[in-house]
Amino acid sequence: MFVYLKKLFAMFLTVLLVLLITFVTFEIIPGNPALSRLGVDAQESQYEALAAELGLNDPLEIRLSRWLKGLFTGDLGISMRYSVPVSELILDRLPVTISLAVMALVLIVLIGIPLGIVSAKYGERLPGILITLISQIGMAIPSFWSGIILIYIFGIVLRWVSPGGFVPWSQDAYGAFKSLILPAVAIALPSIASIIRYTRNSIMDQMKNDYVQLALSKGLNLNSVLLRHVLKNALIPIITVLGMIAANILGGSIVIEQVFTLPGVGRLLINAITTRDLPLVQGMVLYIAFIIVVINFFIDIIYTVIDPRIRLVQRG
Amino acid sequence: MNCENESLIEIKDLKIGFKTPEKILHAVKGISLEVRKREIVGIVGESGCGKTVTALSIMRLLPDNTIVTGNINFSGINLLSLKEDETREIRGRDISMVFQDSLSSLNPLMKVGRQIDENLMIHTSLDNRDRLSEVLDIMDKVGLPDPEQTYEKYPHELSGGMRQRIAISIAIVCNPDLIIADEPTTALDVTVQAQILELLRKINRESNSSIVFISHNLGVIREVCSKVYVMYAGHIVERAPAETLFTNPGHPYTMGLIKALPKLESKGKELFDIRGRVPSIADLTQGCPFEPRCDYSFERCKKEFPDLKKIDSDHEVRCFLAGGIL
Ligand SMILES: Nc1ncnc2c1ncn2[C@@H]1O[C@H](COP(=O)(O)OP(=O)(O)O)[C@@H](O)[C@H]1O
Ligand SMILES: [Mg+2]
Repeated sequence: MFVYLKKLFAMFLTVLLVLLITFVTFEIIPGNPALSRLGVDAQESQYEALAAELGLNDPLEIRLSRWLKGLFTGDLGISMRYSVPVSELILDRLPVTISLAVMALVLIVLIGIPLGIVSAKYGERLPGILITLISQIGMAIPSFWSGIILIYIFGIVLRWVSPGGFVPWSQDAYGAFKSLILPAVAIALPSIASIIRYTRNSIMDQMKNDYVQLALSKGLNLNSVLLRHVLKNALIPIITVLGMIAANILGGSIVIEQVFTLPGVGRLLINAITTRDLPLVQGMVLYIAFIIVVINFFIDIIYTVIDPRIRLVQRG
Repeated sequence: MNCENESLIEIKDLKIGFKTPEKILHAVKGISLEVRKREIVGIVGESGCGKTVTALSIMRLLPDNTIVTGNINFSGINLLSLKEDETREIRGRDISMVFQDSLSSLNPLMKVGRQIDENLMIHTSLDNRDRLSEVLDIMDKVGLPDPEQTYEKYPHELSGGMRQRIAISIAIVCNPDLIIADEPTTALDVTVQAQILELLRKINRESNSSIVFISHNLGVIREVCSKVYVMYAGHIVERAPAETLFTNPGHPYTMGLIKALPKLESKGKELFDIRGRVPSIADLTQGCPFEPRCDYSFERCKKEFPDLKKIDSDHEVRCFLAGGIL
């Protein structure tokens, strides 16, 4: 538990530092939220009124203390661009992002891990080499490109799904699924490729261990040795990478959301930055930090479930 | 009594080579050995002499890039000509193996009881309850305290000696004809080592299992084996009953191994070591492979490879001088 508290404290300090850097960066870079909201054609008086309303004219120390107060009272503040609470904006975008993440992760696990196992089983023989080669290509393809190709094939040529846009789950579950499956695939593809490689390497590393020889010497066949003994031992690095992938996807898939015109957190973040919407950017920073803490927490739990030796270290 | 002399496994002219891009490197260069029913046979030699590779060839566990020739006759079948699925039926049921390091040879993430149980799952049709009582029985037999509780433990929660007892349980649970123990006590301290040796002797006495006992330590070999093969650089250089080997060693290498044993009276004095090192499998010599390290070598040893010479009814030595001035 103590280990965990220490980790949380380190995480807290990191987030604080990131928020501070964001604040300072926004002081330095040109442009401000009032200007970006009104556009360059706006009149001086209009601008002055909005700037005063948003508190942009207050001196630095006032704004800093206001910001800190908000931070410690848990109030994320009001978006300067949209004039609604930041928390509301982020919560609004979460269904899309979480749905995408869950669907993509399911694809990554269900396709990546089995293919990795098969590829490891055949080692340097043809099927193993072939899978490695294909996954290498998969890793090199940028997801916006595979996204466009997917839209072209399934949306335009085959017309199985309507390309772009999002239908809420509560309104039409099947429609929601259809609107998210292509972007989920596009997000998953490069990660599937890298999970194949991690799985293959981790399993092939494990295959060198003595316990594999003992398992074989019992009369188990290679498949059983792989599934009953090796896979679990190989899982720790795979879980670690899966966690990183999950954090990445939940942090918003900027490119894919753009290509498929989906209202996810990725586009929200981009908008927040381009409109100099400091409260919103900071809300996003907190959101991403939260995601990382939660995922790390679950990964640590999964580790201890997989490996009894890790449990021992943490208790001690 | 007749069965005492019946052969269980007979290896003839076994050669083991590893394919490399340029050529085949031979780790075992034509060895022949025999294990009779209920016998404990030792294979001794320094590290790198080919003992483990020989054991793995019997189990058919060598990697794909290995070329194995010769004949391993096990109760009438040549193990080397078996198909993959046929070897799996023999592994763990008729022949089983105990590895050197029980910490790395047991699966760290599986309860030790289940690791024993797995053998029964593969080779018997017993149901869960019968298998469990069988496993607990075996654990009790090998001297593990509190079998029910130990069953639930993971390898890292047990001591080295307890782990090796688990490894032995795995090896004997299907009552095999042959147990190959590859340096089973090397990783253990002396007291635990003695207990494990006693356990192996007990298993040999009480069941029908023959044991091939592999070690680099002639002292340990002497305690358990009736017959010993001395291996050097992929060759058998001497074969003799264990006691004969000590009272009347025939090969300079064997003499060196005996001399290198720590003795009580020499405590504190510097230990003897055979000078030089075991040649790598890439070194090719024409003559006797031990020649560079041998105190008795002469011209002929450099050019000619000695045959295995019978100097007594059950004593063979691969040395030109054997039976003569040595
Ligand atoms: N898979 C392998 N590929 C190449 N060489 C090997 C392989 N396994 C063992 N060897 C070599 O074969 C020789 C005999 O090894 P080994 O049987 O492990 O010796 P021992 O058990 O007597 O210490 C050593 O020189 C070792 O380097
Ligand atoms: Mg060895």
